[in-house]
Amino acid sequence: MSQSPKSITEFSPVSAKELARFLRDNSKGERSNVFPVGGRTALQFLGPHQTTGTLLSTHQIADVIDYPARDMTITVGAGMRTSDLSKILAEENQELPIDISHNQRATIGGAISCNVSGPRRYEQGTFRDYLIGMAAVDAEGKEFHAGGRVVKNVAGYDLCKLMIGSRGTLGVLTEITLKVKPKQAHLEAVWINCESFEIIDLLCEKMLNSATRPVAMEAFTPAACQFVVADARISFPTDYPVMLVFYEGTEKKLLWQIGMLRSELDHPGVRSIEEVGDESSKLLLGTLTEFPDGGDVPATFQANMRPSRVASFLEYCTSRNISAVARLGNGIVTGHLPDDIGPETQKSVLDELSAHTHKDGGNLILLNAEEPIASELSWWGRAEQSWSVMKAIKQSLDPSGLLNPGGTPFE
Amino acid sequence: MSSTTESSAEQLIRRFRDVVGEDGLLYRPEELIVYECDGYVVEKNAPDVVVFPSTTPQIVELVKICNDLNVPFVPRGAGTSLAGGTLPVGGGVMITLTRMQEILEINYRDRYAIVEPGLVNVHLTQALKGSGYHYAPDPSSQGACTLGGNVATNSGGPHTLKYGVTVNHVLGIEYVSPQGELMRLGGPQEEMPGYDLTGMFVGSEGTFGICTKIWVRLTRDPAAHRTLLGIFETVKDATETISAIIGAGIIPAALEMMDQGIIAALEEAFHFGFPLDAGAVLLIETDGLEVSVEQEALDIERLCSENGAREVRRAGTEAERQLLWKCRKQAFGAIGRLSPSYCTQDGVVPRTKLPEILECITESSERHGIRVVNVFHAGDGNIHPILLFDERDPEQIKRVMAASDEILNRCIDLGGSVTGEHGIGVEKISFMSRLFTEDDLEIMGRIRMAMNPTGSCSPSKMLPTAGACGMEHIERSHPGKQAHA
Ligand SMILES: Cc1cc2nc3c(=O)[nH]c(=O)nc-3n(C[C@H](O)[C@H](O)[C@H](O)COP(=O)(O)OP(=O)(O)OC[C@H]3O[C@@H](n4cnc5c(N)ncnc54)[C@H](O)[C@@H]3O)c2cc1C
Ligand SMILES: Cc1cc2nc3c(=O)[nH]c(=O)nc-3n(C[C@H](O)[C@H](O)[C@H](O)COP(=O)(O)OP(=O)(O)OC[C@H]3O[C@@H](n4cnc5c(N)ncnc54)[C@H](O)[C@@H]3O)c2cc1C
Repeated sequence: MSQSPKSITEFSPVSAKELARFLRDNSKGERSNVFPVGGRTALQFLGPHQTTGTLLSTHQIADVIDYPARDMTITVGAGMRTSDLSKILAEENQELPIDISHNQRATIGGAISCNVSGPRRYEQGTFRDYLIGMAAVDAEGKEFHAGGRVVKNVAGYDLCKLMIGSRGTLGVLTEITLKVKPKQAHLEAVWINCESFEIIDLLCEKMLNSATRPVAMEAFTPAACQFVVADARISFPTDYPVMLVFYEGTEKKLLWQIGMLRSELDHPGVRSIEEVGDESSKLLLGTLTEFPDGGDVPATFQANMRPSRVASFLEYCTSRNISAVARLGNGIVTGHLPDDIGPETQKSVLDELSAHTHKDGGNLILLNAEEPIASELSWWGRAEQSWSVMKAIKQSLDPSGLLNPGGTPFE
Repeated sequence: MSSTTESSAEQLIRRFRDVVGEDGLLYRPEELIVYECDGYVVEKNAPDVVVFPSTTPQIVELVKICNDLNVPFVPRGAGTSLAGGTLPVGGGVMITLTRMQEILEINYRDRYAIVEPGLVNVHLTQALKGSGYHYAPDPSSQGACTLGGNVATNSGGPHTLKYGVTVNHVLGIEYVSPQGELMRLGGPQEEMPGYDLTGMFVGSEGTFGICTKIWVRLTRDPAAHRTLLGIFETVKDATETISAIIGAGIIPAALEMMDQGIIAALEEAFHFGFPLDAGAVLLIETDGLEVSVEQEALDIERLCSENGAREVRRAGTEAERQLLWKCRKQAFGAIGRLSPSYCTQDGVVPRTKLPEILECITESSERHGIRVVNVFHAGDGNIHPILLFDERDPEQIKRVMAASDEILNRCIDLGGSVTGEHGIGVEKISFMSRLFTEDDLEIMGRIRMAMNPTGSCSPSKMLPTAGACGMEHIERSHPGKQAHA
């Protein structure tokens, strides 16, 4: 494959073997940079990009390899679209309860590589809780696997955990085995309008001992609220801070929980508690899942903090007109900067937001940023001591740094 | 001393004494006997020194001294490993964490606790009692095993079926690296950038360093539960019921099976009223909201009956429920009534393959003349055949090993694994090359090199090669068992 400087070529192998052969030949020959890609839905999130190398697409490695439904596990090619995976599982009334954005295009390998999660992460967890086996190929074309096809297995180092969130920098995933769950019959969201974020904080505390068991708890700033209402095509009050609580299960279970929630959250600062309805709740879940993709906003960040710090963080975001959505129970806030402020203000706002998260040991990373600030900011936030260990791991699996150069915090 | 010269041994003890004092050290041969094995009694080798640090800075110092003197070291919690995880292969230093057992913080608002590694699992449960929260992983050994040991082995327990294993509940880890550096991975913030090293550290069986602090997730207590005991004429009926329950989309909190052999021992110990003529019993617990558990319990009762249950009992009171769980969790204790020694295997099969593996266990037991009883995490397909023998008879040990190998090889053939929760340790090391390809093992070896470059921390564990550099002198004191090709 000839290559001129600043050129991107593309290769889509039809099997793991072919993919491995490509990487082997590359490492012995040209040694060009390799960018694994799946649905390419997340590439815009990945910061200023390298412009030479090969896009190595997995989209043709997308078969069902094994689906013993009664064992509640499934093994598929890593290039399978996540919507296809959902359809296959739905036929057996099962699901992978992780909310994945752009699911018509995103691949399961890409979603795992980005450790994608959505609102239901609060109750349902993340890929760490579902990925039980995998096969991958390292930068030099060596095929390797870890875990297996059984739900419980502690043989060998758990390389599955290492691959989750590694963004294609350690190897290319080719085969995925997941533990799956029975599909829940209904989803219902409850829209809670509050006087202030202080009230939301108080409600969060109450929820710690709620008799109900929500699957998701979210809150938005007013700017996000307007977007959410429009995108999900629902009409709910948006002029005050909003908390959303989701439940899943049988109708009987939902009915009981919503009734209970109403009585538990009966508090002076709560302006209204309204049920969203089954269909609209699904749309709302979709809107919140897609929220990180902000389109043309100047910058999108993800802040990680302890859940108890979220309300005050949202209050600050509100004061800066930031459109932000928070996973209240997990302490994860995704926000888009408004487009009516200049680059200098954008930078200073991001600095303030970072300082806010760092105070308690949290972090703030950029998911996306436009120039001019894109190349001036630290995308990965404050350096962590553990980055030195990550570097050693990266060097052990990709010593020449061929896979997704620039895709790790420590480079 | 096997791995140090006489003078370096003296130097080691003198320097250790400066760090932990005389009462933090054991080195006389008679004191070391207790530490020559853990729950896996088949292979034994005493360490040269056992040291009991009570602070993290002490551990840093101890590890540096070991490195200075080129002595290998192995961490140990309560020593309940059933895979020889704490066996000091080739001698060296055993760093025992049982004096570090504080709960450093419980934070309900952010749903985590920070604990020291020597904390006994059940002590955390007790500290959380009444708060509405608990720490979910509940190994049957929870009355003795430590959180550090749980992290190192990625322990499960009866409630793993619904709530997951240790790794699903660990947010962060502080550890002393094999080079003596204090490191921190993760913490109470869930999504720190970079690789999930916390996830990978869990289950690394003491080969990545010594865990000194753990951030664990706290889980809400279930609002309600129903605990059922299904009594079956045959093991086959019981296993088919398991498939039927899971196949119906019900995930109970726990689904445990006990066969006739273990029922008899338990009945003698606890007088619960288990029918002695039953082929197997299933202990099934469903939990959740009061509005839904009753229906789930009714569905389970129906599925049990449809699959041939002779009777399904319910724990009517909390005291009855506790007694049932006591029976299950102390099942291993009751085995002492059956035999002087036992060896527990830990295979996993896809749950629909349980009938096949149980048949294989019966056949192996007969073929090798070794009595086997079963008590296991059936819902996960995680079998625990307990092979009964007399440790003083070397011939019996051989037969136990042969039967174990046969069973574990069959687990692999059925698409499973040789360990669901106890780990590879030294016990199952020879199965690694059957479970994994050379390339898989080579990649794992590279990871070990990155985390433990000199191989001085827990040498000769988990991977068939020591993965060591400069530690080639460390040899296993006993040949490992061989998996057939
Ligand atoms: C930092 C970050 C945070 C995100 N957060 C969220 C979120 O919270 N919620 C949400 O719904 N979506 C989120 N996204 C978007 C989400 O990742 C995409 O929707 C999608 O799941 C990615 O799948 P894809 O197939 O389109 O991957 P691509 O866009 O093709 O690739 C994404 C990344 O994964 C790597 N990759 C892809 N396939 C493989 C493979 N087989 N093996 C190894 N590496 C591979 C690529 O090299 C690249 O680094 C996030 C993305 C990023 C980068
Ligand atoms: C009766 C009985 C029942 C059991 N039931 C279960 C069960 O239901 N589920 C289950 O998973 N296991 C079970 N086990 C196995 C055992 O209890 C677990 O593996 C447990 O996690 C070991 O904890 P420990 O403190 O005894 O660790 P040890 O046995 O002392 O050590 C186990 C491993 O962990 C390493 N280690 C210990 N502490 C540290 C540390 N601080 N840092 C780094 N590495 C460390 C050791 O080097 C060793 O490799 C059972 C054992 C017995 C005897």
